[in-house]
Amino acid sequence: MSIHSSLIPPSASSTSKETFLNAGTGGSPRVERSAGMFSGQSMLGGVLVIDDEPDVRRVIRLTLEKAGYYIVEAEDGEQAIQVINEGEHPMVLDVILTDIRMPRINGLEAMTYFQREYPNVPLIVLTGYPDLAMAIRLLNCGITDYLVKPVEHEKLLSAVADALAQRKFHWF
Amino acid sequence: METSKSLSPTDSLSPSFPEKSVWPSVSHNNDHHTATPNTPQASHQANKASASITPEDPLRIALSLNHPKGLHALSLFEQIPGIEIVGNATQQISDQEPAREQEWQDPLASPSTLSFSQTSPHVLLNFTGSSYPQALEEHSQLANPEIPGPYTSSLLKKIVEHKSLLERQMTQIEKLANIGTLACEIMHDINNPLYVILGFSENLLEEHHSMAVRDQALEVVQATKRIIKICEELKFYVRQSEPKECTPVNLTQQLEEAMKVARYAVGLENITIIRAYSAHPIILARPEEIVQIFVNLIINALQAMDGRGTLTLEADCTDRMATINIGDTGPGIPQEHMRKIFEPFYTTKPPGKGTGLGLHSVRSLIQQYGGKILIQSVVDEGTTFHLEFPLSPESVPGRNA
Repeated sequence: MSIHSSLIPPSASSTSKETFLNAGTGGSPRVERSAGMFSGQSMLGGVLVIDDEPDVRRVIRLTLEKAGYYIVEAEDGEQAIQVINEGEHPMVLDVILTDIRMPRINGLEAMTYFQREYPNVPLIVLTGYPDLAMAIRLLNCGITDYLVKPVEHEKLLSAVADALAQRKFHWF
Repeated sequence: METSKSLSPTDSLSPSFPEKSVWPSVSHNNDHHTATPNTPQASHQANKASASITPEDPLRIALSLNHPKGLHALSLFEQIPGIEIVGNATQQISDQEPAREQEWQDPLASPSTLSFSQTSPHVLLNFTGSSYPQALEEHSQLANPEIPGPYTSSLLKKIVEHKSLLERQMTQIEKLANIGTLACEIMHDINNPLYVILGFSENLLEEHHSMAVRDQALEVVQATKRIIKICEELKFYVRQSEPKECTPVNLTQQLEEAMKVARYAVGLENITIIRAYSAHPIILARPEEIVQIFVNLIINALQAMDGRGTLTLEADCTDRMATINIGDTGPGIPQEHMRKIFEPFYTTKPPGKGTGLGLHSVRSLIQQYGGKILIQSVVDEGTTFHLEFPLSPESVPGRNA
């Protein structure tokens, strides 16, 4: 899925190192973008990415934005809650993609919060420590998917797409 | 020389093994349990011996060393705390049995060297399987040492060897148990950079903008280096096929290495670390063992503080000893636990969280180096572990600049 620059205003609060604007060749440009002011209309959906490692967030953003998703980042559960409630981004929260081992509020606590506050939003866990017992427990608690790093981009994309499909289904 | 013969049970010259030998009646614990002696004389010896042994009194042993097994036993006994070797006797044994017979009867005629320290031994251990030690006893007028025979000596040696083997195995088990605790964090720390590498590489296959290519390739390189660093920090856990030789080891350097590993087990965000290195002592040791001692104690300290408190690392030395202190501001160790904490399998942690082997293996490692470990603890204030190691001859106790 490509991102056409004509729909996107120049980013006012660029946080990435370099922002590339495509001149509109009509091809399928691959660009890396910062979280600017998206309207979200041409997007597939909004994904909240929670992980304490900035590199990992950057890779996830690269993968998902390329595919047409709108990304909001947070480095832990506490910040995630803040970002959703008070953030400047007009957030349409369709999928939450989170790690579970983080210093301040860990992902498990944040998940309980999200399941309570946003019960229709699918949760995908993406973790660096594969724990079968934990995975089963979480899936029984109602998370949508459990992925283990390193995850190939096809797998990540299909998990997010599936979760989104479920969400659209649930709205009815 | 008739080494095998000297241990033969049919040796006519071997004593009165059933008559004069006495099973050792002393133990290292408080209970003085006495095995049944065989003769009135033996009984007298046993009672006399047990009466004089207290737990704090080291067991004094004299060995007759004129046999390779005796030398080996000497090296093993030297490692056991609570045993003091007070003398040894060597004798050259001729090849001729009749001559030997004569020597037994007249120890004065034999070209033997006999040396005893001021204190007389409790037990005279005989590794030659002969009656020689009895003759020695009579000659030197020792204060009735117990004299086990060849089989007892063999048994003792086997027990000591087996205990040494068990100690080494325990140390290895403890290392493996540590790995279980650390594996979780290690996997997380390796899988994260791996994902960064995978993700950017997948994108690089299709990336055309040269700046973006360079940018992302750099991320791949940095993530790879992070993984390399993790593997390097853990290399001391690599199992050595044979124990390496001792080399000069800088103790403060090992404290820092241990800190790197310990942070995998317990997060350091809310821990204040105080380093007071008055000296950087150097001892002769195997670095992986020293690091293991420090990792155990530091992780214990961090876990005791439950992630919040002050960890104090001190290093100093006198002209003879290197001293290391590892202190925490945790709940402290109550008096009733103090005597037990070095026991194997003693732990206050919930099942699955601790093996109980840590302090035991720490102490046995320290003892192998001729060192000491002491604890100072105040309930609700904290605990400090005080370690001492004999300095290596070449060490330069430099003062911290």
